[in-house]
Amino acid sequence: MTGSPVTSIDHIPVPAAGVEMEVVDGEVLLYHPQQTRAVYLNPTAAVVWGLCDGSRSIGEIIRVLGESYPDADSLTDDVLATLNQLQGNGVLVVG
Amino acid sequence: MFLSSVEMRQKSVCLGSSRVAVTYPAALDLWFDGLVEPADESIAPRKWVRLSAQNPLGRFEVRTSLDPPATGLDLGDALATFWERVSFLLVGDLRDAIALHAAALCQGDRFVLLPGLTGSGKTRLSLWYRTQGFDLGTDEVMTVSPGTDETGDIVLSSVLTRPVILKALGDVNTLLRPGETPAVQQNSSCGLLLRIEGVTPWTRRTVDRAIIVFPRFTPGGQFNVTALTPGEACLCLIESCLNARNLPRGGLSLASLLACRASAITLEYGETCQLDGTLDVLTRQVLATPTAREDLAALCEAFTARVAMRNAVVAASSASAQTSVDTPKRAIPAPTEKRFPRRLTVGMATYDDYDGAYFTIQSIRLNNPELEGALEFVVIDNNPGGPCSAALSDLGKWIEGYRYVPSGEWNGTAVRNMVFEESSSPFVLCIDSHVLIVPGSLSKLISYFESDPESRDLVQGPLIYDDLRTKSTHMEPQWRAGMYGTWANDPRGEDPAASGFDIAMQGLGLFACRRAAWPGFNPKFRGFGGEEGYIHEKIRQRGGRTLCLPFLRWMHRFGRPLGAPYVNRWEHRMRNYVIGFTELGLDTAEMEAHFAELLGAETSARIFTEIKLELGIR
Repeated sequence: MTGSPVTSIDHIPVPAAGVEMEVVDGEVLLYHPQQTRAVYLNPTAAVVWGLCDGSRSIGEIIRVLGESYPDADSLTDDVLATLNQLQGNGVLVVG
Repeated sequence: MFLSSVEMRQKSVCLGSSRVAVTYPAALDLWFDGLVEPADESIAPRKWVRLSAQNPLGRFEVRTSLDPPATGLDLGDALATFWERVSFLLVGDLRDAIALHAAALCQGDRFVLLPGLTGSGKTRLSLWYRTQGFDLGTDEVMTVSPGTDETGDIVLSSVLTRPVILKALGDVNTLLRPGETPAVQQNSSCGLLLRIEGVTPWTRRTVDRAIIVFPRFTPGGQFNVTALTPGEACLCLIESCLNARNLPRGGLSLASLLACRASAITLEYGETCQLDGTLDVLTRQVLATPTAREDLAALCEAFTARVAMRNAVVAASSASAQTSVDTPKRAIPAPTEKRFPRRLTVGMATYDDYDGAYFTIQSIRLNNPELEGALEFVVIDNNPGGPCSAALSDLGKWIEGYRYVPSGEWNGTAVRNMVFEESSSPFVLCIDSHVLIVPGSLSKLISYFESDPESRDLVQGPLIYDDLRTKSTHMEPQWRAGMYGTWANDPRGEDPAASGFDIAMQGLGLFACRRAAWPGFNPKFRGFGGEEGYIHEKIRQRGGRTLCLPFLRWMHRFGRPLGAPYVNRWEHRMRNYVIGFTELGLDTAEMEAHFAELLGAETSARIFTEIKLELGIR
C-alpha cells in the first residue's frame, strides 16, 4: 500500500508520475512502470480515474459525479473507496 | 592421473534480438535437438550458459556469464537449471517483443496460447492440446511482437527447444498421442523432463485467430471456464510478461492488441478428462469462426454447467452404489417385440435426450390427430442402460404404435440405419430426436409416397429457423469449417403448395425414403459427420432423386446449453468423409485440401494417413 487512507475531501488526487493508461476496447488499464504492474479499472473506477486530472479536489469529484448520477447511493463512500484503492496500487497520489 | 576428453557442442539459442551461446556434452545430444549453430564463432558471446560433467561421474555443473555456478547436480536438475538460466538470460534484455511465460500451440495460422505462472498447469494442458491435434511449439516461453508493416498484425514465436517439464506426476502416457513415447525422459526436483518428437519451435507466425487460455490446475479440482473481456485478458497477459521492465509502457500496447485480437478465457481444472468434450469443442468453435464476446461467455457457462452436471450424475451414481451394494447396474429395458405396420414409420435415434424425443413424438400426435393409427414410432436408444432408457421405454405404455429398441452396438450417424431395419411400414420418416414438424405435413408426405409406391427418392423439406421465417431448403455442396454442405435457400421452397424440386443435399435432421429403397449409411461410419452429401449421392447413383418438398417443413433444436452427452471428433468426421467418398468413387482431393487449411497441413495429413492405413486405402 502507498500513502495514508484518503480522509479529507479537500485533497486533490493526481496520477502518480509515469503511470501509463491504455484503453482496451473501452476498458481502462493503468501501468505503473516502477512497479512493473498493471491495474484493471472497472467502469466505476474508470470514471473516477478520468476525473483525477489534478484540477479537482475529492469534494469536487463527488459533486460532479453526484450531478451525473443523482440516484447513486453512498456515492461519497464509493468514491473514497475507489481513490483509496488507486492510491494503494500506487497509481494515484492524493495530497 | 586419469585424463579424459569429453566432446562438447557449441550452439545458440535466440529469442527475438536476444541470443545466448550454449555449450553441452555431445553425449547429451538427445536433449538439445533443434538448437542452431552459432552465428560467428570468432566473436566471444556476451551471454553464455555451459553445462558440463563433473567428477564424480554422474554429476554436472551449470555455469553462466552472469550467475555463480551451480554444481553437483544430477542430470535432471542440471538440465532444468540449464534451461532456466538460458531463459533468464534471453529474456533479461529482450526489448523488441513481449516475452510471455506461456505455452503455445498452433494449427496452421490458428493459435492456442496458455500463459501462466510455474505450476499453473500449462504443460499438462499443452500436452492435452497435442492429443487434440495441435502442434506444440513451447511449454514455457513465447514472444509476441508487432508485424513488419502498418497492418496491425501480431507475430508470435515459440523459440525455446527445451524439454517439457511436467510438475505434477501422473501417468505420462495418457498425456501423449496414441502410440507415442518420449524420445528421452529424466526425473528432476522440478518434475519430469520429457523430450517429445515433433515438438518444433516456430518463428514469426502471423496470428489469424487465437484463443488465450489462462489455466489454473488444482489436482482433483472442479472444471470452470470463464470468458474474459479484452481488458481483463490484457491485465492477465501483463502479469505473465517476463520482460515488462524492458518495454515501452510495459508492453501494454502490444498486449492490448493481442487481447483485442484473440478470444480469452480462464480455465480451472482438476484432471484432463474434464477437458474432453468441453475445452476441445470450445477451442475449435472459437478458432473456426469469429465468436462474439457474448457468445463466448454463453459457451463458457454452458460447458461449465455441463461438467457440473456430469459430476452430479457420477456422484449420484456412486452414492447410490454405496448405499446399496447389491443394486445391479441400471437395467436395459427390453425391446418392444410387437411391430406396428402402418402407413408411415416415424423413427429416431436418441442418446440421453428424453425431453427431445418426448416433445418430438407428442407434438406429432397433437398436431396430426387425423393420423391416429396411421403412424408407427420407432425410438432407437443409443445409450441403453443410460439415464433416459427406462423413461423412453415407458413411453410405450402411453403411445399406441410405439416401439422402443435399445442398441449400443452402433453409435453416431450410422445408427439411423436401424430406424429402417426396425420399421414395419413401407415408408419411413427418419428425424432427429429434437425436431418439430409443421402440422399437416405428414398427411401430405404419406399421400406423396402412396402416389409413387416404387419411389427410389430421398425426400426432405425446408428447415425453418427459430424466427419461423428464415429457411434453408437445401445445402450447397461446398466445404466450410470442416463440413461438406453450406445452408442455402431456394425461393421455390417459399410456397408450401409448390412442387418438389431437386436439391444437391440437405441437413439430415429430417428425411424420408421408401424402406425398401433405403441404401444405408456405410456401416464403417463412426461418430458424427460425413453423412450429408454422401447419402444424397448414393441415392442418385442408384437412380433416385434427392428432393425438397416445400410442404415438409421442420424445425430443429440446435441449442444444447448443457452440451451434447457425446463427443464430436474431427477424426471421426474426417474418417467418415474418407469412407463415404471412397465408397462412392468420389475424389477426396478437395476434402483433404480443406482440412489441411482448417487443421494445418501436418495435422490433417497425419490424421488422413492414419485413417487410410486403418481402412487399407492407398
